Amino acid sequence: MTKHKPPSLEELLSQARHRIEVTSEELKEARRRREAIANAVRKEFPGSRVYFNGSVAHGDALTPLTDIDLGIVIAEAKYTHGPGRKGPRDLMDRAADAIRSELKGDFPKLTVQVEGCTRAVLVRFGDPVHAGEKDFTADVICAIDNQDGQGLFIPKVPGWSRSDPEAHTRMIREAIENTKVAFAHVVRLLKHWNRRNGKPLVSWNIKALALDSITGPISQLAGLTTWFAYAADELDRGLTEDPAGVAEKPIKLGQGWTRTRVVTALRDAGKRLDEAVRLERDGYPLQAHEQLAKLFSDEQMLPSPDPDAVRNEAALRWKEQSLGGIGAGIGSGAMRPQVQARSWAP
Amino acid sequence: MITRPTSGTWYGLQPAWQILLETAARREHGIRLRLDIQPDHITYYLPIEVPGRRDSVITRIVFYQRPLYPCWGLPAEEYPRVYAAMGETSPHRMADDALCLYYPHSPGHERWKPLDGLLALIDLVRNHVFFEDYWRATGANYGGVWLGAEAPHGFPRIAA
Repeated sequence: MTKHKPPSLEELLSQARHRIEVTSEELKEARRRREAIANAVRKEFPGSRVYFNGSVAHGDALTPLTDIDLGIVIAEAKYTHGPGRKGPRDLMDRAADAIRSELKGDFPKLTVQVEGCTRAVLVRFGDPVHAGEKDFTADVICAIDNQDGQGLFIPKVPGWSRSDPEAHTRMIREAIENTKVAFAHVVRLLKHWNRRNGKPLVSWNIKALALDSITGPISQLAGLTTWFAYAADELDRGLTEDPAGVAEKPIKLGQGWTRTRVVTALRDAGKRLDEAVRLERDGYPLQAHEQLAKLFSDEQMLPSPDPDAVRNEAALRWKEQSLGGIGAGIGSGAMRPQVQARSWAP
Repeated sequence: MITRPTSGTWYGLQPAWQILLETAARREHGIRLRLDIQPDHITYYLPIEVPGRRDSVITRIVFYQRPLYPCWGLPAEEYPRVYAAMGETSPHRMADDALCLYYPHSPGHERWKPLDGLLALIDLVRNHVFFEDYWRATGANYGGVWLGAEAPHGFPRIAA
């Protein structure tokens, strides 16, 4: 009988990534709804251009898919709205009315909200694209071109702020191409790590940091280790600036997180990943697997290895490293000299 | 937030003693290592990861000013009470379920001392809990294997 070879860390990451990837059915339905909204606002604002952003446009959406993002750059508002002119509210109201009237037939439970929304018109379909989810939503931005500089003015009700979502999507797509898709693979894994660990970062911050650190074809494992080290160092220095160089303010951290706590979380994750890499290199695949499973802390996405098998491998490692009667350490203490104590009982 | 007493009384309340003890452990475990200070004892709490266990093991290390348990001739600071994986079967535990990490009459290099630092004690706890897990997995009281070094239970009789 041949002995079953444990999967490598890279294989485990690929399997895990497939489990969290948005399904083609979800994607197809999300795109259909996005196009319906796009058509509604195009009809309301003739001659305007629609852009797509967010995870679906960036190619890193996770399942369950719960939202989409799009915007319309409104041609007719070019000279009437913007800083020092009219605010975005009337454009948002018109967009909301258009979406409501065009989509209500297909989605009877549809609600469209402007009141209380600072950035985008919020569309609630009342009909999830993923069974078991409460709903599916869309954020619709009513933007105008910045005639004096790069990018757009997007709502920050009652006024405007600068951003360049079209450049963001372009940069992400270029990164995916330049890295032969490694960028999207690594980002997807990082987004899942983020949501399983209290959301220290917003998704856009993950991608902004990846734009500078994942720049060529790279394995998922190397991509993750590179990103964690880079992200911790960068955030230790300060918040992440807009990669397009347009937004006035840096990217905000996850709600309730301080920069110190985020850096600690990133360093801890990087340390665990380094330990997994070391264990695999030293011939302890099950303990490496265990570290990877603990990193994501999600048994559905990346199940832990059999505990008995891990224990046996750890015992073997302890025996191999305990030479000449000197006992080694276990787990994270394995690399340190140990007090050579003898267990006892009175 | 830890408020450290400034005037030294017994060893556990002396900031210099605490800092020397904790430095390496804090570097390794960061904010996961918590300290609770009481007038007559201080307690360190830490979740420890042990290979083969999905959940961390909550560990409690208590240093007493005047322990009510026997220290077998050792100073109290060299014989803290250590609790982890409470209630599990083990051949090396005290009556109150504390871990029997080392034989108190061993030579100095075979015992933990505050100068070794808290990190070294935490490593001993991890080793011990793992050895217990392995011992149970290999048969426990029916031939279970204890991977680490062991001292005979009790104290040797001294011939009159």
